[in-house]
Amino acid sequence: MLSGITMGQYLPGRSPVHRMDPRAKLLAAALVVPAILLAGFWPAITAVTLWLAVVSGLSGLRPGVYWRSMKPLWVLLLLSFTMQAFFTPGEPLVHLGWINISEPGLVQGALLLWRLGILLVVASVITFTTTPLQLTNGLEWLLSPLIRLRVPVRELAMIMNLALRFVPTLFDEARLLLMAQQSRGADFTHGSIRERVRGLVPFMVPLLTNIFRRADDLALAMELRCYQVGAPRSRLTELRFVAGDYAAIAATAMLLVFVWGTRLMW
Amino acid sequence: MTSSNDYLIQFEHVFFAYPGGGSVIHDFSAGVRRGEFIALIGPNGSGKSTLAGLAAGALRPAAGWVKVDGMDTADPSVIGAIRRRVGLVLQNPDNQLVAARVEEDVAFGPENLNLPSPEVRRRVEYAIAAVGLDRLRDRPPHLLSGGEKQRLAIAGLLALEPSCLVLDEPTSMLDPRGRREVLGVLKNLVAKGTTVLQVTHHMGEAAEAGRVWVLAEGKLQADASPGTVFSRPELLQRLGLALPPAAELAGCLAARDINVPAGIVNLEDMVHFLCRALK
Repeated sequence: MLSGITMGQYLPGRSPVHRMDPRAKLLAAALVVPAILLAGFWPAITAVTLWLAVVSGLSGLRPGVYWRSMKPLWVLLLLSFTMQAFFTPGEPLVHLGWINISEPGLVQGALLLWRLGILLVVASVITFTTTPLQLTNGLEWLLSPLIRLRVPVRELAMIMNLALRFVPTLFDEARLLLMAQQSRGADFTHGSIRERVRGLVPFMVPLLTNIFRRADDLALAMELRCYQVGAPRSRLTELRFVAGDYAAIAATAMLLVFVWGTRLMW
Repeated sequence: MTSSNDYLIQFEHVFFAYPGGGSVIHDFSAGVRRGEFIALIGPNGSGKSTLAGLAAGALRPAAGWVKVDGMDTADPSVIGAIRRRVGLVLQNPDNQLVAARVEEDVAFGPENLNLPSPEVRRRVEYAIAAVGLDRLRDRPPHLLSGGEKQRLAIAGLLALEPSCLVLDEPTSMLDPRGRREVLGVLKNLVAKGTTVLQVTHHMGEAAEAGRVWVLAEGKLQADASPGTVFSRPELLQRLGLALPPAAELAGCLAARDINVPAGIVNLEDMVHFLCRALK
């Protein structure tokens, strides 16, 4: 049933991570991202890795789920590794024409690969355990000071929520259209780039038309359910920080301080 | 002449045309009484969906008027009040769901009314229970079946606690099982006092309603009980509509000189009749 899983999709559950306040999750993420980016050898990167192991373990989702979410990005990961490996100066280990691969290059590449992997898992933990609505509610709260500057934060949050809600629907639709065109002999996998792009036209046009039709319907449905742009809205569940949320933020803050500390010491 | 207070929704000489098109609704007058279950049938392009939109105040008549609880749908100052009284369920449930969890989606309406959280919670519980989605409250909509999605769309409007639900072919995209589920939910709602106006092209469903409106070319062709409407096969035939299975069976029996009393058009009545006849 979950075979159509894509990045950024909510997976229902009742784990401690699922139940965390979305604002706490976002704050923790904001703290852990610099920690990950600053982490060097060995105590810092170990601490960051352990932190991640604990959080992903608490999320109650199988490791395979995280693995699969990373798959579509392997090109990016591999590219960043090779760039580091090739262009870090140092004693060359291997000569490949004008390219030298040095030991520090390999080590730095591996470190970068590991950090990026961790970042992706952090992103996955958040999107897997938080519904788009919770996420946008959290963002709305974090951005609420901007309302004073007349930034339409509430509306932006609603737009984001809808975009996230329709990701799986549009994926399904794209898949269906692709199959419909292929069953009539359309070919997206052969020929020159020009030909392939031309081949995509009969796929993109109906997709876009359908998206606009859906948007029309959706706007009407929202109005019928009494949605009004700019009107104040209440919440099903008021966001409330509990002890666990504070603990998570404090732990993450400590992690950042620790990583920063190791950085200053070495 | 009945007074306008008897009607929850009242159409009076309503005309409607889409920009650039011919007239879609042509001098339509009728009324929906409180607590009624009305099925609206008619061939494709007869204006059924348009009428559903007019009933819920989503469309405004070009001439004539539509009143909900005595309020004119053309008056922008009462449109909010009208929306809270009449809920319109669109054909494709996928395009009406705004949140990625069943519970959150149902809460969208009451949240828009800016009700306090406990009240939102109460309404969500009521609406989810009314459509039988209790066990699926954590699911994302794309992991629901067609029937479940449509029930969720209905719950989303029920949470606004409307007096009347208008449904535009809610079962047209569903398999027989999903259709039964949705029809079951509607019958329950009617039993509890909600008024229902359902556009449908399943005659079997129309036969279950309390009253049937037959629409063709934007004009009301018949407004009567299912028993009366479906006892006039010539009208339906002229409009290219089928008979409900039970009414068709009655016709076949009549051809063999077994006379089924007029007015037996739904399965339940037919079964009763046959059981008595065969004993």
